[in-house]
This record gives sequence, C-alpha cells and structure tokens, in this order.
Amino acid sequence: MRVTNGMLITNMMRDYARNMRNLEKLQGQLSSGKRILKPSDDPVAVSKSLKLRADLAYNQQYVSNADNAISWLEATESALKDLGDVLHRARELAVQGSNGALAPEDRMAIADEIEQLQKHIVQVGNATYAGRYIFAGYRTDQPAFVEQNGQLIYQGDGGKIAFEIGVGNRIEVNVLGGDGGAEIDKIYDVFERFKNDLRSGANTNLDSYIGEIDQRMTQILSQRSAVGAKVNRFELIRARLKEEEINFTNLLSQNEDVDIAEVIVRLKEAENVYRASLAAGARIIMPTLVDFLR
Amino acid sequence: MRSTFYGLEIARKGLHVNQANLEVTAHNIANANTKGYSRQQVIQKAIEPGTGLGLFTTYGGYAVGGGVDIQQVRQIRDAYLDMQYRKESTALGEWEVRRDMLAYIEAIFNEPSESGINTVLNEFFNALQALSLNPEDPTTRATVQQKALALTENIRNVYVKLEELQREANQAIISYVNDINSFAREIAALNEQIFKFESTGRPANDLRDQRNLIVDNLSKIVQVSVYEDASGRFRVDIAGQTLVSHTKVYELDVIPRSSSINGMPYPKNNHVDVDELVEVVWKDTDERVNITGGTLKGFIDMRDGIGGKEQPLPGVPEELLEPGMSSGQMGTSSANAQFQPAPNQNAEYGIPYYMRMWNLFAHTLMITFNEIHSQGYTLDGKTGVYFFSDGSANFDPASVRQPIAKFITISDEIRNDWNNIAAIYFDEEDKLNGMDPQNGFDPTQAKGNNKNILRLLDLRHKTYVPECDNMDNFTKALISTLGVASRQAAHMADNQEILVNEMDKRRQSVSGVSLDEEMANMVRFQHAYNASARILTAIDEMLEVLINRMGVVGR
Repeated sequence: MRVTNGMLITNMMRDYARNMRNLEKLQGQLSSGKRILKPSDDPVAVSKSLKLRADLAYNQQYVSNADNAISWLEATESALKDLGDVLHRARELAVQGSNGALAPEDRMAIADEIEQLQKHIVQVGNATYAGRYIFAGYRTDQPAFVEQNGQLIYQGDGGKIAFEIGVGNRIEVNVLGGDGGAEIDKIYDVFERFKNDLRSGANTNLDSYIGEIDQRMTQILSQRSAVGAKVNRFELIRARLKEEEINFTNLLSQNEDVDIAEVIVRLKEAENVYRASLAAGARIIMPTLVDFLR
Repeated sequence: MRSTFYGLEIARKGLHVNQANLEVTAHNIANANTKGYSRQQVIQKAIEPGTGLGLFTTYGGYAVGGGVDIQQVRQIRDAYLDMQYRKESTALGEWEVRRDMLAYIEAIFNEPSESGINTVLNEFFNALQALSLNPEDPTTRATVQQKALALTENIRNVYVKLEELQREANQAIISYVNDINSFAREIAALNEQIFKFESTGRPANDLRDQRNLIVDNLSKIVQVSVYEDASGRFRVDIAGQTLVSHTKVYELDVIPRSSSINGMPYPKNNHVDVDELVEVVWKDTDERVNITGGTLKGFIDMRDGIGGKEQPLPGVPEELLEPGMSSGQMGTSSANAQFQPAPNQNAEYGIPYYMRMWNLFAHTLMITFNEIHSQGYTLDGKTGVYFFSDGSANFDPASVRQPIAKFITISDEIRNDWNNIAAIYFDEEDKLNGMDPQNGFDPTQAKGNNKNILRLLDLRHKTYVPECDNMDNFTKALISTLGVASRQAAHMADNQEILVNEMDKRRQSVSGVSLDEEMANMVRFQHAYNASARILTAIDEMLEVLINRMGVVGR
C-alpha cells in the first residue's frame, strides 16, 4: 500500500483522539468512583443497580417501619406489664380481703388501694405512643377509655392496624383495649365491684374475686405473650433487613463501583500509550524528503 | 533529409514537458493538505519516428523519435473506492445520529442517579409507608404531598424534554433537506462548468475534485448513487430517484404532517407526536421521499420510530397503545383482553417509543392510584377524592387530557389540604365490626385507620404497566431497553467509523499526495530538465562549429 503524508497525519490524529478518549473515560471513572455512569455503559449492570437501589430504599423504609412497630409494641408491652402488676397487687389484696378476720378499717384501706389501682389502670388504658392512644383501635386520636358512673367505657373500636415490613408482609401491631383484647374495662369492672363490696361489707365472700382476677391475669398474660412474640418477630425481621442492607450495599458497590487499584493501573497504561503515540507521531510526521534535499 | 534544427526541437519538447511535470509536482505539493484533492500526474508519451514519408529510414534503417509530448494531466482516483467510501459514510451518518440521540435520551432519563424517576418513585412510596405508620400526622402527610409533587414534576419534565428532542430532530431533518438542496444545486453548477471545460478536450481535474467532495458530504446525509455517461453528463440519485441530472436539480421539500387528513396529504405517524413534524417530499410532486440511509434516515427513525405494539388493555386508552392509527380505525378495547406482548422485532425504538412508554406509565399510575385513593376516606371523612389529576380545572377521569405525562400533577384537593389524602378504608372485617360508612358510620371516628395507604402501597407491585410488568419494574425495563439500544448504536457507530476510516485510508493511499514521492519526482524532473537544456547547448555548440568554424581555411 502506498503511504502518504496525509495518511500518517490522519492516523496519528485518530490514535491520539482515541487515546485521549480512553484517558477521559478512566479519569471519569476514577473521579466519580463509579464504573457505570449511564445505562449504555453496561445495560445489564444498570438494570441490576436500579433493582438494588430500589431494594435498598425499600429496605431502609422497612427497617424504619420495624423500628416503629417495635417501639409501638414496647409501649404496649410496658402497659400490659403495668396491668399485670396491678392485677398481682389486687390479687394479694383479694387474698387478704377474703380473710374473714379483717377489721372494717382494714377493709376500707384495701378498698382505697383498689381505688388507686383502678385509677392507675384508667391511665394505663389511655397509654399513648407518639401521641396516639394505643388501645383504641382506629380511634387513635381520642382516649380509649372514659369513666362513667362507676363504669369504664371503651371508646375505641375493633380496628386492627397493620404495619408493612416486607413486600406484602403485614403484621398487626395494636392490641384492643376492649373485647377480644386487653379487656381493661373488665378489670375496672372487677375492681369496682370488689371495692364496693369491701366498702359496703355486703358480700363477705370475697374469694370469688381471686378467680375473676386470675381470669383477667390470664387474659393480660396471653396478650402480653402475643405482643412479646410479635416484638420478637419484628426484631428478627429487622435483623434480617439490616443484614440484607449490608448485602445489597455490597452488591451495589460490586456492581457499579470501580476497583480503584485496577483503574489506576489502567490509567497509567493508557497514559503510557498516549505518550508513546505522541512521541511516535512527533518522530514520523516531521521528516520528509524535503528535509534531506539541498 | 532531416532538418538541421530538429534536435533543438526535441530538446525544447523535453524542457517543456519536464517543466510541466515540475509545475504539476508543485500543484500537488501545494494541495497536499487540500480536502478532497486527488494527486495529478502528467501522462507523457514519446513522439514516434515519423514514418509516413520514409524520411528517417534513409539513414541505414535507423528510426529516431521526435521527443516527448504531454498527453494529458490525469488525476489519480479510484471510483470504486469512492463508491465504497460513500456507502460506509452513509451508514456512519445514520448510526452517529442514533448514538447521539440515544445518549441524549439517556441524559434525559438520568439513571442511575439520585434524582431520576427511580429515586423519586422510591421516595414517594417510602413517604406513603411512613404515612401508613402514622396516618394522622400532618408532617407525614405533608411529605407524601411534596414527594408526589416531585414525582409528577419529574414525569412532566422528562416528557417535555422528550417532546423538545423530537422537535429538535424534526428541525435537523428540515435543515438537512436544505443542505441536500444546496448540495444538489452546487453539483449542478459544477456539472455545467466541468462539461464546458471538458468540451475543450482537457479534463477539469480540480473541479471534479470539488464535485467529488460535495458528493462525499452528501453521502453522509443520504444514500447516493452517481452515474456519468460517456459524454460526461453526471447524475446523482437519492432514494432511487434523480436528485441532479446534469444541470437540472430536483429539489426536496417538507410538508407538515397533520392529525386531520382533510386537505393534508400526510397524517401524523404516532399519537404522541408533537404537532410540527414534517414529511420529506419531492418538491415537484409532493411525493414522499423514501430515505434509506444516512444522517437524515437516522433523524427520521429517531423522530418517528415507535417500537413494539401490544394488545388493548383495560383502563388504558387505545391511542396510548396503537401507534399509527387514525381515530376512525380505532376499535373498542375489550375489558378482559389478555395481554400478549407482540413487539415488532424490526421496529425502531425512537423518541416516540419513550414518549409512549412514559405516557403508559403516567396513565397507569394516575388511573390505578386514583381508583384506590378515591375509595378511601380523608381525615375529614370525605370520599371520592382523586390523588392525581391532569391539571385541568375540572378533572374528569373518563376523559383524561393526553398526553397525560405532560400534564400529570396532584389534584387540587391534595394540593390545597394534605388532610385530603385518603388513608382510611374499611374492609369486610371492619364492616362486620360495625364500621361501614354506608350504614351511617362516621369515618372520622377511625383516624388511625391506614388500610387505604396499604392498598395504595400494593399498587407498586400489583399494578400492571404495559410492557414492563409492574410499576416497580417499569424504570428497570425502560432504562435497560434504552441502555441496550444506546450501546448498540454506539458500537455500530464505532464500527462504522473504523470502516469509513479504512476506506478513507485506501482512498488516500491512491489519491493522497506523498511529499517524498513529489520530492523524488521533483529531482527526477529537475534533472531531466537540466539534461534537456544540456542537449540544447550541445547542439548549439555543434551548430557553432558548423556555422562559424567551417569554411574558414585560409581566411
């Protein structure tokens, strides 16, 4: 093939431009730390990246949901524990009260304590988490219970509130204060009757209250263990989500981040090629026969 | 008897021809860097001995030639390489446009990034998640409202940019049509000059170079074929029809496409197309030009290409699905139509494809979201509130303004009061518990109810978006389609560039000026010139002896 000066120059310019582009690309990778900057760099990896990013975003939200659920359930658990403690004390008092040898003053004192416990359970029944009444079903904006003529009226409803902690994975977090739930109104009712009997002295058979209190205690315990189990479940899920987050972050980094060492080596290599092409160009393009003819 | 001065004549011819050679060498060197220049060469020929009168045979049978003469100054060029170069150049022009346009679309979608659709969609759904944890909370409601605004803004922004890009492609088509016309006129003018010049019998080398260069430039815009007849009449064809025939030019023109056929010969190609698009036609006949390659084809494909079609879908207006149909042809969509993806493998995925996908996404998002949202109850107990709207004063879900991706926004109710986000919904269990607003239950009594939000969250995985499975996969599918197309275009453009470079190299190898070669020739011609001059002086000396020194004996 006949070689002309124009060819040499064109070739050199082309090689020079290509080497420059190479340098630019490597420099871009190095300065951004990313291997892929646009979909066409690696369509498969980009699609994977988008999925991982979405997964990560989900994950973070689900961790936050789980945290919220755990806090909500912990507030519930502590309220239920309070109720359990109250029932414990009431049972002790009932045992004490069923002892026929009690003086009327003692009965009055027991009744006073029961009244205090009764007030406490109203407070517990209207426990809130982040300003929301946890025992009120959907009616989280108003107290779950009000006292009326010696009765504790449940104002909540049967609404079950679920939090999402995975795609399509929803777990109910609230315990109802009334029927089928903690049944705090019934505890109040037991206490009310117990208190009145103590005060009036009408009913001397206070043994029956021990049974009723035990019954309430069983109910609270079963609610508590359900809540505990749920907390457990949320904690497990949260731990898994956290692990997944690390995995996803790793995968994402593997997928789109550059291997700095590799890129630097390649940059050095590209730089050498670039220098060589400049040097070769400078040597080849300069001399023609013109330079050697007098 | 031969003439006394014949030798002088031979020497003179030698001087003359070698001088001409030196001049052509100078011309070559001067044009070493001229684009499109082909090196020239003096074709010289020895003058044969004159035998007609038997003049030279009288000296013992020796025949002496008459020196040298110039036959022509020829340009060194290979028409086959020209053709090959132009063929590859046409393909390069086409792929370069695709590469650049697709890279632009990639920039519009801006993925992967912290501000692309993927991110705003994630953030919107995460805000909904946060709202599901605390549906009465005004701050989480405000977040949902703001994230929804960001989402719709992103959708509109991308769509408007796609429309702009389509308009730009259209503008490029118009300006390339102008370029073709002006190239055609230049070629016709050159044809006339060349024809006149060459009628004197000499080749118009430099004019031919100019013409070839214009044809080269033209070949990048559109596929060309050139023909030259025996008498030197030159013809240029594009799209199988004549553009330039010797001195006559058949110009191109553009005609705006219209959505209504009345009085307009060319309808819109796609429903998503912007209004100003034009059809490239032959000026004389208004007939469509069937562009087969080059930059122009690249722009037309990117501007018009729609890609695959699919079956009608429930809830999606047909004009979003069926490209290239006028309203009269549109059928009714069957509510239970089974989706059968039937992508046209040969279809070009141009700007309208991405516009259409964007519309499908926006439309599906709006319709499905609104449907669920309007079934829920607001904090104030209202129901039937739409979350998204098309931005018109009286939003009517039955007749949504299209293209929706250009108009989608949050509804006025949501914009004015975030309490209107309908988080509350009563399912069958709730109704059994006596919570049924249709039976007089007051929904404001259930402010902690988050069931409608949970139902809205389901949409992300369960809503079917045509061609993309569900909303969650939409961006992935779209971006990977785009990435693959863009990558392929970049590869094709790169390969084509290598081919064009190779053809260019081969052409330069034949036609390019080599300074070394010219210098060697210069030395050659210089010496030949000197030698011819020396012959002249030798004959001169001979004649000097003959004329001045002879017959002087005894003087």
